[in-house]
Amino acid sequence: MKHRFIFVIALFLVLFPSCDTGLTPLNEPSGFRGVVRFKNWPSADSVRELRIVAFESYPTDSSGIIPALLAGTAAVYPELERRLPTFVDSIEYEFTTKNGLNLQLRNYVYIILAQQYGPNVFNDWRPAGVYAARPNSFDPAPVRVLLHRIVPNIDIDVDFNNPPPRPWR
Amino acid sequence: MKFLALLLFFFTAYELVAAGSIRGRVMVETSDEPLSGANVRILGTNKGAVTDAYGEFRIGDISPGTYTVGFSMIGFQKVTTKVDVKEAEETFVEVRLKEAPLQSEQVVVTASKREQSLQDVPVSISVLDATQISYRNSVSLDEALRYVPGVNMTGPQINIRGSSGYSLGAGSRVLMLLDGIPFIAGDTGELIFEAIPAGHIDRIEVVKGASSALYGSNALGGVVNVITKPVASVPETYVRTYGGLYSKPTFDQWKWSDKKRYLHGQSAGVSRRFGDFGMSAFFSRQVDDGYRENDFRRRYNVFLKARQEFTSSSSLTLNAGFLHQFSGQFLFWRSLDSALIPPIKNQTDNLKSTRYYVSGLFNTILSDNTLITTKAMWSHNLWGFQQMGDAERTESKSDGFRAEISARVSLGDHHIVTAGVDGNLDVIGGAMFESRTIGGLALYAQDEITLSEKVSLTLGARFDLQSVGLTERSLQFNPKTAIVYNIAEGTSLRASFGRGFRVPSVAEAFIAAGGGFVRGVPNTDLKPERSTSYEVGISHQVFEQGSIDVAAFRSDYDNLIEPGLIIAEQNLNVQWRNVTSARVQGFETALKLGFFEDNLIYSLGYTYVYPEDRTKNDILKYRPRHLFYTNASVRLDWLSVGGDFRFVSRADRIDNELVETGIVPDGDERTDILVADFRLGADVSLGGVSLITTLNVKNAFQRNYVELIGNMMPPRTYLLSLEARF
Repeated sequence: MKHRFIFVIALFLVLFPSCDTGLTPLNEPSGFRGVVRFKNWPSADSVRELRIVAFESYPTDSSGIIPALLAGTAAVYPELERRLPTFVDSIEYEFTTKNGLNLQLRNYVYIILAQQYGPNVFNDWRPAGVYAARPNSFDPAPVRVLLHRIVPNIDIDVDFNNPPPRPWR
Repeated sequence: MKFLALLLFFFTAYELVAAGSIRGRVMVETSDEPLSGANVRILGTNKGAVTDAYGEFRIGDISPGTYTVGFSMIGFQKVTTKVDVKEAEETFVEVRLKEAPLQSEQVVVTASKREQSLQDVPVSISVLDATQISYRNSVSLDEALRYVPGVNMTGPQINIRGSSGYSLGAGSRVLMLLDGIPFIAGDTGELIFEAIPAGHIDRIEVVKGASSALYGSNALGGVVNVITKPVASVPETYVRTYGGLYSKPTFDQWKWSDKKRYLHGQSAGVSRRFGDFGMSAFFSRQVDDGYRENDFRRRYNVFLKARQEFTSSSSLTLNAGFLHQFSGQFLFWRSLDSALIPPIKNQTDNLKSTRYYVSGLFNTILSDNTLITTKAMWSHNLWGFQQMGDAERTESKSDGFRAEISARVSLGDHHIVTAGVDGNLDVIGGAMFESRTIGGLALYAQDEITLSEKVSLTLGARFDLQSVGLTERSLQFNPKTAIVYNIAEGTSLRASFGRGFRVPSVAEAFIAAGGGFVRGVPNTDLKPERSTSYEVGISHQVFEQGSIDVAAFRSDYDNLIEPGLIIAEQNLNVQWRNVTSARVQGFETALKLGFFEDNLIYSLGYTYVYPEDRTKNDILKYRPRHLFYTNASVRLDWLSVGGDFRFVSRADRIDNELVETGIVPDGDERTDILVADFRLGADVSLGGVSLITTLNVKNAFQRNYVELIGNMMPPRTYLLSLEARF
């Protein structure tokens, strides 16, 4: 009896404070949102894929989308198994840490709508529009992704007849 | 060579005299039952034995003379008696040991570099023995240390009573010793816990407070002395295997793999004696899938020990250890919503390390009152990390040499003087820290003075010249004073004062490369940091069933070296600087009770720490204020049941820069640590084979918590271990 009593007391001391699960997911995404407006759609065979891509640094000749993505210095929307609609006037998007690939709490200096224009999924990419500092400009503007905040009005104008320069080879 | 031959001849010359022997029996005083497993030692020699199942022992090959023989066993009061050994005769001795409260007769070696009863030690010491490590199935040394009162881990870094925060793996304010020899990486200055296999540890002694007066640099927060198992006195073979499974994450969105995540390991060891020569060998292998992505581990350890007794008064012990480890590197989570996966760019980061060492310990008793000890160690470390896109691994290699000669002299009945000289040399290479050579030399002495039957005083000091080639050369003087007053039988009061220092590690001063998200900025102007520690404490036996210890402590730190974070664009640069004057003060209580012939054991430890940054008038980073550990275990014949509970309060401050800049997303999402572990064990003997089976459930209530920001700790983990000894 004495054994049992002391054992129960000891067990109680061990068990009592352990009823909470501790940390839980926040489910408050971080990211940015906006509208992509399209003009002058080309033929369907030259618009195989569209992605919004955010680069941590301006991509040089040697680094395209795929190398930057693999290096973790670029983020892509939407996730690979989903696609953006084509041949529409505009789309509203929300690119967050929940629905994009590799978006982090970083400063992104070059945000584009990327177009896959050819069959080579690794190389046949070019910027079709850029999030710019001023209207009718190709000067990229930065966006800082803040914790649990969605930065609004990150709009991109796309004119397939007048695309921004392609920085990578 | 001639000198060595002469030396061997000198030490073996005693054997020419016809030897005698001591035979005897050890009994329990109250019941007159034989006591098996009691230690019998001829003091002042290396001779000894362990009593058999009938409580009997025999020690042969003893030179004629009068000896003091000590009899001890955990749970019993130590007894010493004088024995006359005559030429070619066997002397019979019978002693009865009186049962003693738990812990009071525990013997420790770290406080004064000699064997002492725990009750006579003038500083706070906690001891973790092999049984506790085995029953908890602690697969690594750092895991075992999480149960020591006053100690908490911040990821891989140890913190004793608030002395350390998190220094990104560079430098440590706790010195680790391996069988009394400093065991610390020459390049990073960190403690290499994984190089010591948990299965080969006999016990761990943790000294709390500045100990630089005996041990030099790094010992300003405390000392962890890992004592490996001695060569067994009877032939022993050991086989152990364990297997485990991590539970699924608490939330589905944390699930990252469809496969079950396992961990398992195997170890084996043998120990044999051949006359005066004994040796043991140990091997272990650990495989861990990891509960997080890119957090796998493969670890191999080999450990060898050889001991030769040249005469009854001189012996040589050689140790050699080898570690090879390959692991993923999980630096921090992607976010709390994706807590078990790393950022994309860190998904393939990995670490590879190969470390080995050889150490030697030569003891010789020159006379009845003089013991000379010579220790030396060579260690080699090669490790490196590889990140995504790296063509080659960024590596660091270092060779460390340590040597020490010390003498312990008993002067009459009132003085035990210990003095010595030690030196260290570290040769460092590789891309991470480039080529460096650093070293130091030290002289130390201490006198333990018995002022009366009840009062003993310890005075000591150490001079260190550190460190050639690293920042500027510095001369350090670290004194210490301690007093123990035995108020009554079973009650002692202690007070101590000591100074400590730490020379910055090569990593802190010269790091030029980066690991993961960190890039180092060298600072060659770094100066050693210093501490002054004070402690008062009282130890008291409770109801003949256990002991309680209460201590109050304070440490003042100057020139504290802390990592300064510099955010440059998207990257984090870190530079270690002498930035802070700090004071860490608090109190600690430890209680240990044993009932029903120790079949029910209960212990608890509570530590309160107030860690004050006096330069910024704020709380020091990464220091929890409350630590509470409790443990209960019940043994019913061959069955045992036990549980551990740990509470570590949420640290008041962390590196906010890491969170605000998004380098560690949700890094400030932290909580109190409340962890409960349970175990069920069966201990049976079949045909001379001792079999121990233990089932452990760790983090039984699946608490989701971090010790280090952005690093979720393991979920509920089931472990089953089988151990056989024969």
